[in-house]
Amino acid sequence: MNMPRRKIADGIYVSCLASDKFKVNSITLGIALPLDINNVTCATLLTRVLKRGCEKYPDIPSLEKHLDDLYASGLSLGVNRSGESQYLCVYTDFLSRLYTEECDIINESVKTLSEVLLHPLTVNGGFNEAYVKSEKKNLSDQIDAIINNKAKYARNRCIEEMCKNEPYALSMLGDKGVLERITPEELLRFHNGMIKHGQIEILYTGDESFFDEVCTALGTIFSQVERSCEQLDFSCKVDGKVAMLREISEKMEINQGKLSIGLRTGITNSDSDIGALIVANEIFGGSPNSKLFMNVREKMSLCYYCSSSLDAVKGLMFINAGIESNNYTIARDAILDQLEAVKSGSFTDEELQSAKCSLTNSYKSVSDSISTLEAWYMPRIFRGENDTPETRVSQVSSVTREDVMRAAGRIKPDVIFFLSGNADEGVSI
Amino acid sequence: MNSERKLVKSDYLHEQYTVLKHKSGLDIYVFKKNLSTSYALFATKYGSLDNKFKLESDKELTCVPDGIAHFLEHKMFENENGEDTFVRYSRTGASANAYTSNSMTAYLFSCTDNFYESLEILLDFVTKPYFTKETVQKEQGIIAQEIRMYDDNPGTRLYYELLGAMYQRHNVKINIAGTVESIAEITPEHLYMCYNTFYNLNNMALCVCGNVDEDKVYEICDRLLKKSPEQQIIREYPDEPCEVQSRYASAHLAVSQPLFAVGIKDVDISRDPMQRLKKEACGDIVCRMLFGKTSAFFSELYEQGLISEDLHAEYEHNRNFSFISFDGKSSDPDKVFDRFIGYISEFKQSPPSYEEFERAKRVKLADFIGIFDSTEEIANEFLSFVFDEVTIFDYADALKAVTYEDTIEFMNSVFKEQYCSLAKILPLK
Repeated sequence: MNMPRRKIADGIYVSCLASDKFKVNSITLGIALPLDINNVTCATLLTRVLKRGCEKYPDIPSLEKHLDDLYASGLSLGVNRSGESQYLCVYTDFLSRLYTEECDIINESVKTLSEVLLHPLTVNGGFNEAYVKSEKKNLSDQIDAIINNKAKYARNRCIEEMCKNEPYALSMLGDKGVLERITPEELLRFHNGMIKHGQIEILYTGDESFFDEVCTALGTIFSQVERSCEQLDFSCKVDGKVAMLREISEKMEINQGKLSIGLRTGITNSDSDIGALIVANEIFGGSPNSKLFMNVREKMSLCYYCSSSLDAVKGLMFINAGIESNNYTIARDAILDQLEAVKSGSFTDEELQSAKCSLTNSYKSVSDSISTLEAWYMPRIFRGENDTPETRVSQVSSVTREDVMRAAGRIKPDVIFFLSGNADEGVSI
Repeated sequence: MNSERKLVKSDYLHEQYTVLKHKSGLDIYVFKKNLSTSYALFATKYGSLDNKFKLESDKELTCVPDGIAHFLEHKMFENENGEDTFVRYSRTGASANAYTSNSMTAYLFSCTDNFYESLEILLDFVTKPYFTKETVQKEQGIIAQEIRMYDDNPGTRLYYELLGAMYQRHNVKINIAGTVESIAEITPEHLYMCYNTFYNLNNMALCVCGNVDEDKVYEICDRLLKKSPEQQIIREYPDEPCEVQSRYASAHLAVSQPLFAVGIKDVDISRDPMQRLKKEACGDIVCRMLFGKTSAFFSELYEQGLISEDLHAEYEHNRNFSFISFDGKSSDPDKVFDRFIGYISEFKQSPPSYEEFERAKRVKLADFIGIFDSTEEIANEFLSFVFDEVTIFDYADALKAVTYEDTIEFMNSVFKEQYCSLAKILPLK
C-alpha cells in the first residue's frame, strides 16, 4: 500500500490510509514514550485523567454530550506497546461525510481531540486534584482486577517470570507502588514533557480527498505548540537462548487450570526466517486445523482451547490452554510433543499448504476494518518498518518444508506456568 | 430460473440486498458489499430455549437434555468419512466457526478467496449429520472444559445469576452449554431427533455478504440442497409469571472487587413483530438516555466513586423474553441498587429532556450505521432480525420513528420497582 506521509511540525507526521469503503473514519494520534515502570504508570493514569475533562469540556457529561452531538463520535485514550517501547494513543472515529452533512466533521473531530490532549484542566501547576485522586483509585482497582481473567493472569505471570528484569515484563496498567506516589504536579510535568518532546505519529483512515483538510487542521493546532522532538529508539532486545526450562505453578480457587507456556524464538520481523516461523506457528497452534487443536483438543479431549501465538518484535511464542488441574503432566507433554512433530517435519504437504492458505486469508482481511488496519500500521510507523499485509502474503507463500523445520528448530520452551485449581491430587511439578 | 427474487433497498443506509425463497424451502439473502472479506452464515431457528418440542404429526412432546443445541453444533463438524470440517475448510483458506444462542444455531465462515468452494463445504456439512457413540463421548470431554472455562468467567456467571434471579421458570435461565451432568446424558439418538426437527431448510436461512455473485450462490444451492418436507414445529415453553424469582442473587468467585448486574424484567411482549421492533428501538434509546455517560445516574455513581468504568446497559427484547439490564464493578453494589430504585421515581417525575432524547437517538442511529462496515456484523445482525420476523432495514426505520413521548411512555410502563433484581459476584472469603 502506498501510504502518503507528511510532516506538519517538528517530529510530527501525518500518514493516510486511503479508503473510501468505510462509513466510519478515524484519526489515531500516538506519542512515543520510553518503556519503564514510571512512564507506563504515568501514561496509563494520564489517559484516565485526560478523559475526565479539559478546559472546554470540564467534566465527563460535557465532553460526552459534545461527542454525541458530533454524530456519536468516539474518543478514547490508551497506552499501546510495541516490543520494549510504548506509545500513548488518542483515537477518534466519526461518521463519514455521507451522514454528517450539517457539520464539518473532520475539523470538529480534530478540534475535540486537541482540546482533550493539549488543554487539560489544570490548577496551580498540576492537574485537577480531585480527578487525579479518583483516577488513581480507579486505576488501582483495575490493576487488582487482573485476576478476574484467569487465562490472562496466567499469561501475564508467565511473561513476568520469563522476562524478569526486562522492560517487556512490565504490566501495561502500571505499578501500584509508583501509582501511589504520583502527584497532580508530577503528572502535569509528565504530560507537558510528552507533548513537547515526544515523537508524534498520526494516522488518518478514510477518504483520501480529505487528507489535505486533516493535515491543515492538525497543522494549525500543532503550530501553537512549542516543540523540540526527541527521537526514540524503538529497537528491542532479543534473546533466543534458554539456559534451562523452568516450571512454575500457583494455586487459586478456580474450576479450570490455566496453562501458559512461554518460548523463545529469537526470530523477529527483520529475520529472514520470519515467514517460515509464521507458517510453523500456524501449523503448530494457529488455527482450528493446527496440531494443537486437532490432537490435544480433538483427539485427546483435554481442553476446549489450546493455541499458540507469536510476538515477532521480541522474538517470543506463547501457548495457552485451559485444562483439568490433574491433567497437567499429560497436557504439557502432549503440547510439547506436537512442537517436536513440527520441528522434525512430521506434517503433511497439505498441512503446509493449508497453513499458507489460512494465513493469506487473514492478511488479506486486514484492509477490511479500521481497527485491524490501525493495529497493523501504527506500531510499524513508529518502528520505521514498511512491511504490509501484501508483503507478508508473498513471504509466507514461498516458505518450504525445510524452512518450517529450520525455523521451528529455533523455538525453545523457556517457562511453563500453571495456575492450578482445586485438583483432587494436587499438582506435582 | 427462480422467479421470486426480490431486491430490497435502503436509501438512508445506501445499502441493498436480494432475498430469494429457494425451492428447497431455504430463505437466501445476498447482501452485496465491496470489501475484501466475504462472509456466509447458515443458521437454524433453534437454540437452548427449545428443549421441549414435537412435529405437528407427532403425538408426544419430546424433552431433551439441557445444552443439546450447543452440543449438536459441535458435533456437526464431524463427517462420516472421518474428516474434520476444519480440515476441509483449510484447503480453501476460509476461517470457519459456529455459535449457539438461546434461539439460533449458526455456522459461518469468512474468506478473501475461494468463496464458492467454501460455501459448498458449509452447505454440505450442515446438511449431513453423522453422530456415533464414540464421537459423542469424546465431545463430552471437550464441552465439559468449555463449561468449566465459563464457570471461572465472572461476566458469564454474573449474567446467569441475574437471569436466575429474574426468571422463575423460563428456559433463558438455563446455561446455553448445559451442565457437565446434563451433557453426559446426550446420546446420538437425541442428536438425530433434534437435527431432524430443527435442521429442516424451512426452519433455516442463509445470508451471504460480500463481493459475491448471487447467481453463483443460487446455482450452488440448486445443486446441493434437496427439498425439505414442509413441517410444522411445535415448541413448548414454560409459562413465565411477571413476578421475579428473587430480588437478590449472588455467587463467590476469585475476583478483586464485586461485580453487579441489575435487571428489570418486562413481560409485555407483542405477538406482532413490527410492534416488538418498535419497542426494542425505543428501549435502546431509553437505555442510552438513562444509563449513558451523559446521564445523571452515571455521573452521580462515578463522582461518588461507586463505579469506575462505564455502565454497560442494554435492552433485550425478542419474541421469547424481554428485560433491561446494566452492569459494572463496584465496591458497594447494594448502594448502587438502592440509588437505582430512587432514580426510578426521580426520572418518572422529571424525565430526561427532549435534547437528551434527540442526542441518544442520534447516537443509536450512528452506532447502527457503523455495523455496515463489516460483512460479519451485517450477516449476524441480518439473520437475528430475520429470525425475529423483521429485517435489518426495518430497525433503522423503527429507530428514526421513535418519538420523545414514546420514550417517556416506555419509562413509565417498564420500570417498576417490584420487577427489579440485583445479581452480584463477590470476592472469596
